[in-house]
Amino acid sequence: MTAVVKPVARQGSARSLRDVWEFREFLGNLLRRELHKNYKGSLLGWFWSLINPLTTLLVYSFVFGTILPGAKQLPPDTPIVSFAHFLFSALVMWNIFINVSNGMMMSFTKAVNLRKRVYFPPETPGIATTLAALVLAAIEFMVLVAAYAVVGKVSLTFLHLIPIGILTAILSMGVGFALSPSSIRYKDVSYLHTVILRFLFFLTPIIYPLSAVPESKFGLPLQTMMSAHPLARITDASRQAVYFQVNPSVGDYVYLVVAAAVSLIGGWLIFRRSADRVAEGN
Amino acid sequence: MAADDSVLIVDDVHKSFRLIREQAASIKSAFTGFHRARGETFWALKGVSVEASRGSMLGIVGTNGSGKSTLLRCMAGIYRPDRGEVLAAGRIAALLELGAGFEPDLSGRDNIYMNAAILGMKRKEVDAIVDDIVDFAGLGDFIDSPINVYSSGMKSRLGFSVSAFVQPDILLADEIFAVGDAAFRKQCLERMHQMRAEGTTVVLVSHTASIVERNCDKVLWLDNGVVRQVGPPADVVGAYLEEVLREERAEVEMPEPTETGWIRAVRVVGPGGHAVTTSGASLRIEIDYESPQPVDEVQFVARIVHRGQPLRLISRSGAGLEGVRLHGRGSVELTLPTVPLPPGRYSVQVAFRGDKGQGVMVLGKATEMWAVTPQDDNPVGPEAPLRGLWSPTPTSTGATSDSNSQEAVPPSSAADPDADNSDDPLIQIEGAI
Repeated sequence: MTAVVKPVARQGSARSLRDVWEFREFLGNLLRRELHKNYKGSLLGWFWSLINPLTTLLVYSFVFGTILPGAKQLPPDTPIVSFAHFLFSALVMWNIFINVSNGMMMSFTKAVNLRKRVYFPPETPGIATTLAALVLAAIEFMVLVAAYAVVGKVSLTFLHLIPIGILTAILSMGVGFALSPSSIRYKDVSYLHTVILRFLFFLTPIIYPLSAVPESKFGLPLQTMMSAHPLARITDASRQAVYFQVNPSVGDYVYLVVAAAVSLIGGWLIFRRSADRVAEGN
Repeated sequence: MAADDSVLIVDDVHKSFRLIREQAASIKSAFTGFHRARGETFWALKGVSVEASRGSMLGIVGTNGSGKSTLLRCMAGIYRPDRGEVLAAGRIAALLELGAGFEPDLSGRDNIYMNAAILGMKRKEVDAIVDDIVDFAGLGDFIDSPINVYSSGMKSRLGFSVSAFVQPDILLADEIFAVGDAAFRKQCLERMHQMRAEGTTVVLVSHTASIVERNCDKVLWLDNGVVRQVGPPADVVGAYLEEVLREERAEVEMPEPTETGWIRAVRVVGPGGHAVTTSGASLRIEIDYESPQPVDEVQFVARIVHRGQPLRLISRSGAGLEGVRLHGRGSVELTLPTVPLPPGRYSVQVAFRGDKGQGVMVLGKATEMWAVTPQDDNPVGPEAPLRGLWSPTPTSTGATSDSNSQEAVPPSSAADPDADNSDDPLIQIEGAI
C-alpha cells in the first residue's frame, strides 16, 4: 500500500487557510472555551460579559446626559431624547473592536506554550477569539434592540447591525493580527494598546456625533479627516442604522469593506511573517 | 527515493536558529537596535534525511544539543525547515517535553478534549475513548482537577495516554521515559507495540539507549545536526555509546610498556558487542597483557570505578595462580554474568601482579570506560554481588608458559576469600563481593 504523504509544514497562504478548516474541531474547542472560561465558577455567568458595556453606557449617559447636558451636541434632527440610546448605538461597534483586538493579543499569548508543543495553524486562537466576540456582540445587539423596543422605536434598519458588526470584527481582526506577534514578545505592546485605545475612544464619534466635529480647525479639514478614520465610519454607520434609523449609504459600505479587507490582509501578512518564529521562540 | 510504505519522510531537512545574545527587553530596543538581524545563525539540523515505514519504530539517539528535539519538532510541523521538507501521512500525535500540549489551568478532562480536537477528533469520538485514557493514565479523581496540580509523572502519564488512544498514524515521543516509574515505562512500551501492530508508526527519542535498541527497528544517530549513522538498532546504538565513552576515555592515561610488564589493551564487551550493558545483564572484560620477563604467581585484578570513586566491587583471578608463569603476550578474560549496577558510566581498572623473584608486585595497570543502561523491566538492586569468571587461565601466546594448565587455575573465582593483603592498592580496597 502506498501511503499518501504530504508536507507537514505549511507552504504558502492557501495551505494555511485550508489548515484552519482542517483544524475546525480545535477551533470549536477553543471557541467553547473562550465562551465558558471566564464565567466558570461565577453565579451570574454570562451576565458579567454585559456588565462592562452596560456600566460604560450608564456612566456616560449620566455624565453627558444629566450632569453636562450642554456638552452633548446631539444633532438638531435628534429623533429620541435619550442620550443612552444615542450612545449605545455606537458603543456596540466599539465594544467589538476592543473585544477582538485586545482578546486576540491575550489568546495568542496564552497559546504560545501550546504552540511550542503541538502543531496547529497559528491563526486559530485569534479566529476563535473573534468568533467569541461576535457571539457576545449578538447578545449586546439583542439588548440594544430591547432598549429601543422599550421606547417603541424598532426599525428594519437595525438589520444593518449584522453586516456592520461583521465588518467591524474583520477590521479589528486585522489589528489583532498585526499587533499580536509583537505583543507576545514585548508586553509594552498591550500596555501601549490600552493607552492608545483611551485616546481612540474619544477621537471616535461615540459620545458625540460625527456632525459635532468642526468642519475645519487649525487649518485642517477636521470633519473630513475624522470620517476617513475607519472606526469613525463604523460608529457613524451603526448610529445611522440604529439611532437615526436610516440606511447607511452605499459609499459607507464600500469604504468599510475596503478598510476591513485592507486591515485583515495587511494584519495577516504581518502575522504570517512572524508566526513561525513565535513557535520557535525566537 | 521513498519506499512504497513510507509514511514519514524527512528529506534533507535544514533548520537554523538565530542566536540572540541580548534578548531585547523592551519595545524600545526593538525599534532602536537592529541587533536581531545581526544575530549569528546556528544550524541545528544540517541536511537530515530519514524514512519510517508504516508500523515501524524509529529511534533517535544523540547527545544533548545534537538536534533530536528539533528534528522531532520539524516532523510535528511545529518548526518549518529552512530547506528540505518533511512529508507525512495522516494524523501526527506529538509528545514533546513534559506534559505535551497541556493548558495548566484546564482540568485533565478538558485537556483530553482539547488535545484530541487538535488531532481532529470530534467531541463524540472523544467521548468514546475518554474513559480508556483516564484508566490507562491511572489518574482517578484527579482527572477533573486542573493540570497545574498534577505531578510531573501524572502529566506524562496523561500525555502518553491521550496520544495512545487517539489512534495517530504517527506518534512522536520525546524523552517520555524520563519521568515515571518502571511499571509505567513497561506499560507505555507495551501500548506502543500494540499501536504499531495496529499500524501506527512510532518515532522514539530517548536517552535510554537500551530502550531504543530493544524496541526500534531502525535507529538514527544525530550528531551536531547531521546523520552520523542510520541502520539496525544494535549497530547504531552501540556505535553511539562507544563514541560517548570515547570522550571520557581520552582522559584516561594510556598504559606504557615497562620492563616489568604492561597491560596492552582492555576491552569491555557487553551483550551487543559494545562497551555497554544493561542492569543485570552480562559483561566481558578482555585483557591483553605482556610480560617481557618470566613472572610467577600471576594474579589479575579488576575493580569497578564510578565517577572516580572505586566501588567495593573487585574481582581477582583465582588465588590458585601460584606456579603460573607468564612470559610474553597473552590475553585473559573476565566474564560477569550479571552486572549488579544502576545505569551510569563506569570504568574498570585492571592490574596484574606477580613475582619476578623480588616478591609480588604490580606489573601493569590500565583503565577502560563502559556504561550501564537501564533495563525496561526488573531492575536489579545494587546489593547483588559481583560474580566474575576468569577464563581462560592466563596463558602466554608468546615464548613460554609452563604450568598453566586448566587445572592450575580453576576458571571460576569470584572473590578471593582469603585475601592476601599485600601492598597492592587494588587489593586493599577489597570489599564484600
